[in-house]
Amino acid sequence: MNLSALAGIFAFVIGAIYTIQAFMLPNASIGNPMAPKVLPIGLGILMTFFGLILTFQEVRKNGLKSKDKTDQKEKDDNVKKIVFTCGAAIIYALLFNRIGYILSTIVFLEIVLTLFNGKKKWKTNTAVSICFSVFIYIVFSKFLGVILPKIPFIYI
Amino acid sequence: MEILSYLLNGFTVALKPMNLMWVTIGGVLGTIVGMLPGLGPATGVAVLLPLTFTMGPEASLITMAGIYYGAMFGGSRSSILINTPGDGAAIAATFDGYPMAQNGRAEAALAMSAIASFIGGILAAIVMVFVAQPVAKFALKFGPAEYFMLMVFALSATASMAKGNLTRGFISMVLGLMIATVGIDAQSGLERFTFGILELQTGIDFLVVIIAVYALGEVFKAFKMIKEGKKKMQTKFGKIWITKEDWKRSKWPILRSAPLGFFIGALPGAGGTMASLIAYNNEKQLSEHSDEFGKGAIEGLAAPESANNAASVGALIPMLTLGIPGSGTTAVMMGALLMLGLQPGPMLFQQHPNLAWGLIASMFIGNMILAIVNIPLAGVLVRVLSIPPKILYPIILGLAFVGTYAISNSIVDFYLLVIFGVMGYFMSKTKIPTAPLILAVIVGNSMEQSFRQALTISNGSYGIFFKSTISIILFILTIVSIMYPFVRDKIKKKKSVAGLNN
Amino acid sequence: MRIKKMVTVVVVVSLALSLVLSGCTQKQASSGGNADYPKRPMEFIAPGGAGGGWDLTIRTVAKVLQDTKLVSVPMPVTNRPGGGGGVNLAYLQEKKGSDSIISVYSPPLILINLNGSTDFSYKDTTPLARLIADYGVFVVAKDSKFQTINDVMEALKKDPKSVKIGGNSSAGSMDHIQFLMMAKAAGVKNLKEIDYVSFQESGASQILGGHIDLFSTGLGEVQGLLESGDLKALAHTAEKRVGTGVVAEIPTVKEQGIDATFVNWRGLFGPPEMPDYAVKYWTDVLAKMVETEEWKEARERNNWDDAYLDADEFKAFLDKTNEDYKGILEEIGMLKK
Repeated sequence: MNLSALAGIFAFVIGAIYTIQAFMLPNASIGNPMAPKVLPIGLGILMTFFGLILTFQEVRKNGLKSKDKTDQKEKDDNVKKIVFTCGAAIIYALLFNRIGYILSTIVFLEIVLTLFNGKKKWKTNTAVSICFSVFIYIVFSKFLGVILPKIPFIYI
Repeated sequence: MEILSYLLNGFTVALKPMNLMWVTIGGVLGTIVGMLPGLGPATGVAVLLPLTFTMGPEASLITMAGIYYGAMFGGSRSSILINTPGDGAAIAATFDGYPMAQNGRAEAALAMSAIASFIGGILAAIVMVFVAQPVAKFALKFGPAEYFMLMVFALSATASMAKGNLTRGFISMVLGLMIATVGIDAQSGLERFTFGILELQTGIDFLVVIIAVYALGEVFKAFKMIKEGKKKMQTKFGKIWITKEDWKRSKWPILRSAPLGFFIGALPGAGGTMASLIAYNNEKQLSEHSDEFGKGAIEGLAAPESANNAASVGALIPMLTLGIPGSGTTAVMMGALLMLGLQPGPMLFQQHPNLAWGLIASMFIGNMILAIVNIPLAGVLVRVLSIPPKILYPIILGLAFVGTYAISNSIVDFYLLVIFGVMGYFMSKTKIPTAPLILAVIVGNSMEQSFRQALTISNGSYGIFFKSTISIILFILTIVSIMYPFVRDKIKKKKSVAGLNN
Repeated sequence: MRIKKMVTVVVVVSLALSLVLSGCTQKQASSGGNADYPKRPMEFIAPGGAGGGWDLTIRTVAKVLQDTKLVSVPMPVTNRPGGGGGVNLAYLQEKKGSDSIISVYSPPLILINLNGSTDFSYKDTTPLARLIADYGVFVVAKDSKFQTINDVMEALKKDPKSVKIGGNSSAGSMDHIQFLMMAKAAGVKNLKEIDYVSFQESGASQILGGHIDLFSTGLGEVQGLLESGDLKALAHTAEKRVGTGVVAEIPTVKEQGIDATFVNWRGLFGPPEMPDYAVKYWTDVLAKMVETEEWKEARERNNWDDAYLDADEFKAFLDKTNEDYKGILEEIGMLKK
């Protein structure tokens, strides 16, 4: 799939949805009631317009097929890695406040390092995860005074 | 001259051994804090707040100043090494600093950033001594209409960034503006695009977008490049210094960007971020090597670095002379001053001249110490590049998330990181430039608010945007900024055609 | 067979133990015994960023309590900004019943509920004490044509769009509301028509530069400029004169015939359903704190007026202010039903 054409389509869709949302914004009660909506509506229309143009430009130039030379298997592999990284990040977000900074970061880094380094290197991965999490925790939380969630029950 | 004698007094304060020690500690702390993504000078100053209770006003003020400049020096370190800006003012450093590091010129990049920062800071400090008051008065002339024009001027840099493909550039810019509309609209109190999520009421912090697009985006790109063996570690490290050629090319950009940065910093609400971006665009337009910008042109790093240090000095002007915070960091500093029992404002110079001038003197000293400290420090930091990428990138991710959490303590930002990270990756794959988006996110909200503020004041008359000389000049500059890239290309084409014909 | 039984017993016992233990630690969190409360460090939360008004206030309280040795446990201050205080308010709901969290709030606590930003309100907290107050002040440039606050009100009565009011908070928030309350009391009708221009933080420079006609802000915010004479204060919203020096010369709106006050109060709150022993401890400690020299000095340094109210008086005050703000917001159409 020609990615740029896809981008154009995305832009068109995002623009359209945004414009509709913008129209649905309530009126301002003071000042010009339309004022807060003007820019959003304008932006939405522009985005929809440019999305359309990009799609046409790309389809005219390169058709719908992708120009990317890398083979499908590798592309899929990359996408898989990205999806897993995002998944790891979401898990990170969910665990963060519940099990504290150190533990959730260890989980997150373990996943990501495995993606990068492979399962075979689990010793290195685990060592890095633990060292990083503890080190950063000490530096940020104790030294810099940034609030990081503590491990429940132990309150470290 | 009276001022000089005050300044001399100030130096005697700043040069006391205790204070020298404090400014160094503050400076190093600030550099480290500034390096970490998401943490900026505001965090550093906020961290030291409790300590200031015990130190006494003189020492605490000087330490805070040290942290402040340190952060300005440090922010670009991570920009250069891992393409993740330490704070807003360091974004521009990623444009050319990171490519330089990728091309094996990390040492020169780190050195240049320290040198340019130093020169920018010193020049600004010198100028500040003499023109603080007049500049402050001039800055007051900037009303909403003028701010609007300034923001538009800043945004017009998009034209040169999007030269290759206008459609893509516009999509990027519009997307950035759309992100900027999220939050409570100040003029009407209305919530826009918050979807009921409390944390979005204050809008999406541009730093989150930047960390997502740059850090996460970089990591996603790395997956492919590591497989292809394109990512190598740097094993041999050169001296942290620049070549004569580097200096020749960067000299004027540095000297030009410093006053620019200084002045923009003096405007309340515009700070290092805007200053560095405008300086970057400026130099790109003026340079004969403009095609190299974005690929590792040394002046593309030197200019914004000079500008943002100058801006940080300039930002102290409204705080010291009028008691108005010029930026988020100066707001924190003002809070600290108040806790120390000092009222920043016109009376500060009269009531506590030693303190005020000691602070100004410490700017000179601080800049010098930081420049000296940063060169060897850079030698240590550059080793970061020797960490195998497979381990370095996950660490970058770890830093990105913790840095983001440090900004606003909210998990919602984690989800935003994922969303914008994927977006950034997709944009790079489809050759949609990310710089216009970032620029738009930074200026978008201010730009819209200023526009509406101006119209409210003028009762709907658009004439207000062309009333003052400042607005008109900015307007003309904007037009030039937009047209210049295209005109210049046309001229180049003509020249090369003429050359061929000859 | 026996092994299975043993395993079952072990599993059941460990489950029971863990329940009891977690219950214990939970209990410890909420009923650590009256005699030795507080045993664990307290969490002092500022619902805004570092360096802001809330942050300053709660850090000062923590410092005074420490310096006077009224409290022996650590009271580290953390920031939980967002939603105008709403994010922290939601957080406090999660910590219902906790005895180790204290937060500071001021009028936005009421406003964010009334304008619909959040569903939670001051009723979802445990008010402990009102400590200090700043007041609203209305300033103009030193060469402004307005000499008194009544000049402004008269101009607004004739043409509500003739005076541009600027402030640093967004529309419907403090700087806006405090002015409207005065205008209403002065007899200005169509409050909705009055133009309020919201700035990020540069309001003071805007009035100095002559871009707006009047700047509505907190008295503490512009003291330096008032002392230097760059700005002229037309009136402030306290009950009677406050402060020293230049500040003491500023008339109140009441003196000039406008019967209204606006208090930018700041007080301490615990989470909802804060245990009684904790409430009692803190109300006692705070009552003692406001009498100390250290607190007085801190107040003077920051130009905070003493506005101490104990928990019950504070609750009554909050109820009344809630009604007052409701009225104004309704008039300008920003009240969420």
